[in-house]
Amino acid sequence: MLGSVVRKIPDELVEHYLGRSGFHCPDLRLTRLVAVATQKFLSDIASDSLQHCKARVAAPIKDNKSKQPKDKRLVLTMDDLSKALREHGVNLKHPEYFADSPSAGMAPSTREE
Amino acid sequence: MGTPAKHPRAVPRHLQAAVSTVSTAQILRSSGYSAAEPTALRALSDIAGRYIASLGRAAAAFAEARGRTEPNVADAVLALEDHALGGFPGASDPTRPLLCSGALAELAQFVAAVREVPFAKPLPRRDPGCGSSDGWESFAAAGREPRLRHVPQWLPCFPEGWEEQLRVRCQEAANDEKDTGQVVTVMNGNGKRGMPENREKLSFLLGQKRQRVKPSDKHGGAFEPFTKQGENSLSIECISSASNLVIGP
Repeated sequence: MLGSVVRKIPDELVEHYLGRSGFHCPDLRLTRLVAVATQKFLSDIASDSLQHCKARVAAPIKDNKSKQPKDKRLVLTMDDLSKALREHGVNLKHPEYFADSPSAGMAPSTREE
Repeated sequence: MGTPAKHPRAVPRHLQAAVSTVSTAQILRSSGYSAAEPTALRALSDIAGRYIASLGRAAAAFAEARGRTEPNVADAVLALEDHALGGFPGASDPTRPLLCSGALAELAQFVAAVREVPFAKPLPRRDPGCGSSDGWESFAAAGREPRLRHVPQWLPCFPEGWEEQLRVRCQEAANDEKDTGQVVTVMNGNGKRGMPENREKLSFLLGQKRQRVKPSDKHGGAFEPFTKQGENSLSIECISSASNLVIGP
């Protein structure tokens, strides 16, 4: 079953991460099992976020002209990723912007000076 | 990094981040995305690495709970079932056979689905850390004596031909200096810095007695205002002589 999968995650990378958590196994098939499982995990997340992205594009259907250029370029955004990861148990929160000036968030009295 | 003794070569942190980013990008591409935000890509590749580590940690824990140090297939399958957050078919049966578990069945379905869209293998098979450097070998392990006496034997060996390279570099620097005549810092054999010849000898005298002021033409008459001052003036003597100045450390 494992040999026919096109492996996108190199075995050395998987072995390195497994080694960091105490999983040392000379059997290559186990390493490939973990690699395939990770690939499945990632593709599940990717497909979920793709659905979110397409749902966002499909929602404001007013005219056909604006819909076509958006379909050609599907970009993975942090917003879609965090929504997809929430269903898989990962809590990802990304701040949209940082504070605009160094005095942002300070007390008003010191800011005036 | 905590790598076990059998693998002395540790993958550097940036390399593994880059490789996992490339792999994640490949997987995203195969699922239909044409672009990704850089922060999102980095976050997802980091999560992939943590997922692998989490699977390994769970499998190692299951193995240790049964008195083994090396996880086997059963431990790996149990770890997979543990990570199936949405559940899998057959989870409610505690006596289920592991190798026929629903988690593996879902994995098999994924494999069958992926096989339908063949892609060229994106990354060539390589062993990071084995290409350029074989890891290091200490002097004692290599059975060689270090050339410099202050270097202990348990330190890694010097690279091959380092003395030759140093000599060649000094030769080139010396050759360059003769051609252009610029001031070039050349490390001589004894480690002292040498300066080029034909440099004027400057002496600064603070004194009331000497008021010898002969501004030489070489300085363009810059010292003229100093000539008319009183006794407590600074006079500069310029003696041009072909003498070497050697400034030691």
